[in-house]
Amino acid sequence: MRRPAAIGLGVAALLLPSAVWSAPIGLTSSSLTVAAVPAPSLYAAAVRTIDDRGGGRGKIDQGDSTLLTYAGSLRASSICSGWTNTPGPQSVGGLTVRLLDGAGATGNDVVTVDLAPVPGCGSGLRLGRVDTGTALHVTAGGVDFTGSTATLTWSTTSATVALVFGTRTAPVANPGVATSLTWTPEAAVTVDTNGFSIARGTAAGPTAVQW
Amino acid sequence: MRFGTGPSATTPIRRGVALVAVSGAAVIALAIGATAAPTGLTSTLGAGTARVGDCGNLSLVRPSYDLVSGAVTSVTLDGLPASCVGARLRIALVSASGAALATGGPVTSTGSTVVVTTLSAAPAAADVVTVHVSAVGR
Repeated sequence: MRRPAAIGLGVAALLLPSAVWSAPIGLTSSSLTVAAVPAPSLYAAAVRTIDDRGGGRGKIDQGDSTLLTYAGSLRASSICSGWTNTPGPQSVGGLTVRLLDGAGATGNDVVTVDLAPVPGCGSGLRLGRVDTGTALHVTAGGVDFTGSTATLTWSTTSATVALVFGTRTAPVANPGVATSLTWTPEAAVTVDTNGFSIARGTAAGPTAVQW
Repeated sequence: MRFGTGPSATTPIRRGVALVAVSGAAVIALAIGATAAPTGLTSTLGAGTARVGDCGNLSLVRPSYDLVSGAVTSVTLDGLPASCVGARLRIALVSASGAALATGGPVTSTGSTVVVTTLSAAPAAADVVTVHVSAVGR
C-alpha cells in the first residue's frame, strides 16, 4: 500500500532535521561587524600622454604632454596654492619636471615635478609620480625639463592637469616599447567638499607607446 | 451496515491513528536529535541566545582605488580600528541601484590599512557609489 510508504517518508523527513541539529556545532565567529561607506570622493582616474610630434613617438621631448585626470571633488588649491575651484583653465609655468632614472618600484623611470615654489604655486606643484613602465628612457642618471608648464581644466565630474615638458637638460632615449603608465597622486591633494586627503590609490593607463 | 465499519467511517480513524503515530515518532526523533551530544563529550545541551559582538566602528573606514583604464582592480581600506586586527574582511562595491558590482576578500586585517586585491570583477570606478565592508571573527 502507499500509505505506509508515505508515513515512512514523513518520519524520515522529520528525522532529517534532528540529525542535522545534532551534528557537531562549530561556532567560529566571535564578532560580526558591517558598514556601508561612501565610495572615494576623489581619486586618480586616468593618465595618458600626448606627443607633440616634435621628437618622435616614444621619446619624451619638449612639448610632449602628460595628462592626469582626477575624478570627483578636487580642491584645486591643494595641487597649486594659487589655483581655485572656478571654471576655466588655470596655468602655472617655470616648473622643473624631472625624469628620474630607475626610481620606480621595479626600477622603472619616473616622471615627477620638483616641489620648489614657483610663481603662483607657493608650495610647488603637487602632482605625484608617474611610473613610465620602463627603465629605458634614461639609463645614466636623471634628466630635468626646465620651463615646463601645467594647466588645470575642469569638466562636470573631473579635473585634468596637462603637464607639458619644457627644455631638457640632457639626452633621453626612445624606449621603443609599449608600456602602461601608473600615476600615484600626491597624498596631500584633498577633497574639496570635506578636506580629506586623496590618501592612496593609483591610476594606470592602457598599454601603448607613450609620449 | 454496522456503524463504524464502513470505509467512509473507518478511514478517518485510521488516518488519525497514523497521524498520532507519525507525530509521536517525530517528537521522539526531535528529542533524540536535540539531546544528542554534539561532540560526544557533553551530556547536556542548553538552549539560549548569545549576542554576536562587533570588533569596532567600520563606518569611518575610507576606501581608495587602484584603477586600470578606469576599472577598479584593488581597494585599499584605511582607518580600520585596531580592535579589528585579526578579523577577516570582505568588501562589496555597490552601485546606485544597490547591485554588488564586485566583491572582494577575505583579507585578514593586520592594522589600520588593508589592501583587497582579490575582486570578483573590475567595475568602472564611476559606477560605484558605496563600499560595503564586513569584518568577521577575531
